[in-house]
Amino acid sequence: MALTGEAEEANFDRLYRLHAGAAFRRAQRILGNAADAHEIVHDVFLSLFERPEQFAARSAFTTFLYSMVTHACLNHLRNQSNRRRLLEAHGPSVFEPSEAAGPERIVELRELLQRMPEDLAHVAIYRYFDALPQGDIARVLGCSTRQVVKLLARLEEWAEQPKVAACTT
Amino acid sequence: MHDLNAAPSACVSELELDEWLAGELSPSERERCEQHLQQCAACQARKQAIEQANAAYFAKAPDFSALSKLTGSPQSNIRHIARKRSSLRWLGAPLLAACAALAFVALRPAATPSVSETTRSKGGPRLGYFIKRGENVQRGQGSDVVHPGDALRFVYSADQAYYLAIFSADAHGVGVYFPSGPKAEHVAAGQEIALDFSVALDDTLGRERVTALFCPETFQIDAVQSALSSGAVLPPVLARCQTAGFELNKQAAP
Repeated sequence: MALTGEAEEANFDRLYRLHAGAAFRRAQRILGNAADAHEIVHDVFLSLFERPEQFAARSAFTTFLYSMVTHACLNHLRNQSNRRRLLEAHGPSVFEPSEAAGPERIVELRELLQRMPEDLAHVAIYRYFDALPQGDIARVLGCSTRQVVKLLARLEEWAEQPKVAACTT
Repeated sequence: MHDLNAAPSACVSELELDEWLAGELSPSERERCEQHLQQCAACQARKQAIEQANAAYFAKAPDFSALSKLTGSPQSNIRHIARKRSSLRWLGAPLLAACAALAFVALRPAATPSVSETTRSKGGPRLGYFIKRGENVQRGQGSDVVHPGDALRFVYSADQAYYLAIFSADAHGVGVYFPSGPKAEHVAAGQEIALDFSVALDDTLGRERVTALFCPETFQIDAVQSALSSGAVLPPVLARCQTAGFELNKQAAP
């Protein structure tokens, strides 16, 4: 069911109630602080309210929203004015379940996200921030698992580049 | 680069948990998910953490329905607000709360209420407002500069039901914004409840004080209006009321 035609007040409120919590949780994890995460949730749902046709019902709303939040967070991270502040964000603001990722690692990943190619940045978020298995990443990206494997391989290669490593030291 | 936080492959992913909570899984997927959750303490804990985080988020977040009543048409209203999104974070709960803290002046009266003898009350009812000027709508911040013809829309927050009346005081005297009837009107508890009317500001320039009385019982509007106008002692029935308000600086349009 497409969102178009469902954007009436009550239905939109229902969608917001069902999904805004997940959007906030992911945005907070990716960006590292609640204030920016609230801004992302605000902008994402406002955008959906203004242009409900963005959701074409080719997937479940949850996967669509994952993609939308990821895109919004990446834009936010890459916004020059946000960079320094977000790079310094770490510690308790990193929401679980990234239990294995220490604050330093998250900060490093955030820094890398700002410089890596767009398609790799998306797959990196799903893999390293959301800890999604390849099948789920494929669903969110709308591609095959095989393509995800290739993207992850490219991501590994990109991360191994000397200039990347040099920039992170 | 290594995988930092991957769950075992048999476990339910976070995406699946979100889909399950949203009711989007197919019957077979749902069955697999629920069976796994029954057996896996780690996934149960993750599910609980997600549910708790969602609950915490929504405990503070306003809903769309209340907000979209601000100007009648949800679509047009949201679009108006969108143009001011840099200054309006109405969807983000903590930001909204911060905004509200600036915009609302919550006041608790002494035994004999007086609009000139006020103290802040952090937990009391609050009155806020939106200003519509042309096509733009923005949240009132308190002490806003407004112009004749601007429209005001009031929103209140209260942790219990009250009888509400809203008065204005400017150079021309004391007026009544709400209600239109002779007695204070019953309003329900809630956060960011928009009153279903707006007022167009007249051409009286200068400071205008807007004061809301939140009372446990109703009262006659004209008696309070008269007392406020003349500076007389307010009716005793108001002793248990709480007040909230803000001040506007009305200037001629440039």
